[in-house]
Amino acid sequence: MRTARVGLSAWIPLIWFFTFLVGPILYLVVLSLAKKGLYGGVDWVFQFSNYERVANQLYLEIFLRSFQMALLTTLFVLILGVPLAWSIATLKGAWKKICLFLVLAPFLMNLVVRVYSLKYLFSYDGPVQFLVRVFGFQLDQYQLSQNQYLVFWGMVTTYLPFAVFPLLVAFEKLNYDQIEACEDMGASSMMTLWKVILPQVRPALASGSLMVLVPSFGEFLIPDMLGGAKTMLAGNLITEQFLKNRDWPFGASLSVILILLLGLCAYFIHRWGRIRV
Amino acid sequence: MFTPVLQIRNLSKTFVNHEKPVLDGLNLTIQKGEFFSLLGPSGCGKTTLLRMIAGFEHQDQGEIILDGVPLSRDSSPRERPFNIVFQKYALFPHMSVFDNIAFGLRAKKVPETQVKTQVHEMLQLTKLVGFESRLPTTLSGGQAQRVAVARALVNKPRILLLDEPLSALDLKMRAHMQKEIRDLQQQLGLTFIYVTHDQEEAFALSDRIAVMNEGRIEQVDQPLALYDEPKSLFVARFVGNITEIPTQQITESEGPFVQILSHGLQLKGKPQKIQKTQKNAELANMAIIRPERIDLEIGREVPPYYNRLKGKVVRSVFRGTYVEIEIQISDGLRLQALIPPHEVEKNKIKEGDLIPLCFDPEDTIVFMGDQI
Repeated sequence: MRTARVGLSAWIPLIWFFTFLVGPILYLVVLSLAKKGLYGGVDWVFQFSNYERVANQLYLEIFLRSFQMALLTTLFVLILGVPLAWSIATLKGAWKKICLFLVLAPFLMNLVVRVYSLKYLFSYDGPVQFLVRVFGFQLDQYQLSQNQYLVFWGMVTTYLPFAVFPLLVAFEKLNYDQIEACEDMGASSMMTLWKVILPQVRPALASGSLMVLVPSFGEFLIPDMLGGAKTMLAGNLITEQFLKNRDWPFGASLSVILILLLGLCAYFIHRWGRIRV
Repeated sequence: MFTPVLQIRNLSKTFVNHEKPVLDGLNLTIQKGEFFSLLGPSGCGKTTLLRMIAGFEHQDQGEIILDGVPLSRDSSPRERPFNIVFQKYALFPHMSVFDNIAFGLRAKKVPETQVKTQVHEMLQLTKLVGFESRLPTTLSGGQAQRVAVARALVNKPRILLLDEPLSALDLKMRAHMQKEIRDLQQQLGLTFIYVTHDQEEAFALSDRIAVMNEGRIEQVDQPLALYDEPKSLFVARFVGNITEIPTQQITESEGPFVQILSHGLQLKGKPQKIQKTQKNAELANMAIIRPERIDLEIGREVPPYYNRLKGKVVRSVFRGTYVEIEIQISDGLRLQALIPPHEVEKNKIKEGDLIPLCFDPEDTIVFMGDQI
């Protein structure tokens, strides 16, 4: 009885893992080796030409730009998220609950609605540009909307909560006596930060970064809505192949490359985040 | 013969948003090489005092003088030659025992070869040889405690400060660690200041104890003196068990004793003058006796000046080394006495019996206000 139950409970996640993660990815790999059909379907002809097409400078630039955007987003999320998580961790009682709720509040709203409201806020009809005009400034309406800065800001605000939570947990677990102990033993603030605080929050920094870097690398909704036609990122490129160009095999090969790059990022971040003794 | 190492002069502190001061004009002198305990209930200011000595808190008024030189009020813990053992150890969980102990030396940029020898000395001193590569989470409570002590001692502090360091341990381990800490202190001849709320722990460890209450020092004395000659009712109540005997009248008597009248009883006791303030007005005119100082009068040569009483046994509880007996003397007065089990056995004492008791007036302390 008992062994049967243990066996079953181990199988369920495995079945899930293969059906919903490994299976689709394998399908994607197979698809990436096929050929685009004449009428938008798929010809099951084994060939590598899709990968050869990716090696185009245009596509490589898009990947590079996406990676830069994702890195910059992660960096900014950490710059904003670390002090935020630290200050919430030091709060007590009702204030802490309120702050936690405020961090979670964006999730109560659909992402599209949130991004759309940001788009409206900075659009030509929106309040920001209206105020700018009221104060007599003349400016090109696209200086404030439909550009990559707004895309960047949209990504930072969207992914900030994902990093705040792991950091918050790590900061809460941090024992403040340890910081006093450092001071008592004559350690400088820098030594305390590098030798005592950082090693203990590094796993949280790593998982927080991962939670931001991975989705922002493949993000397509935010650049699509806030970037206009000017900001093409890897996510948009892939979406376009599947939906507009009806070139599933090429889209699949782009996806496989994105997955490999993400896997590589995840590996390095994870390695950095391990607790070392 | 004694040289003061640390003097505390008129130290006061009130926390922001608090009405009452945590420390209220406190004075104290700590001798070189002594094991000194700060004892008191929670909230009495003992931990604040320790943290203030370490430099984590800063006084509003007063001075902390080390070797005759006042410490700058705002000097940080980094600059003060003290080290503290934290209540929950505050070991670095990601560092090995060796790295934990080496931390303070490395912070001072001591060459790594010296770090190695000094840490090994500490490992030997605290009986931790063989544990140097272990992580703190894999240690027992007692071992973690020893690492915390080693980590502080390796810095060669002028005084070691300990903030309830044994409170996280179970009873047996605590008794064992008490011995180890005392041995260590004797071996090093170092001054220890030890904060605790546990009077037995303070007794077992200390050369002298300061009993604190509401930011003030009630009494500083050796453990036995504190127990036998409490200078205030607070100290008597906090240290050990007492039975309180409210007195209606106190008159001078022959010899060193005063005559008291309590619930129609005439008793003799040793007077102890207390400063009568508004706060302790109700504490004056109270006599106390410790339960273990009350004896059964049966089969005993009792000196004529002893206090004698008769009472009815209301409750009798066997506690192993003694029997705890509650005796109703009169309507308002109930005494507690600890009687050896064999005496209870021999005299067949049971609940409801009327038994004669006696105790030395020397052990009966009468707290008196200034007015008589």
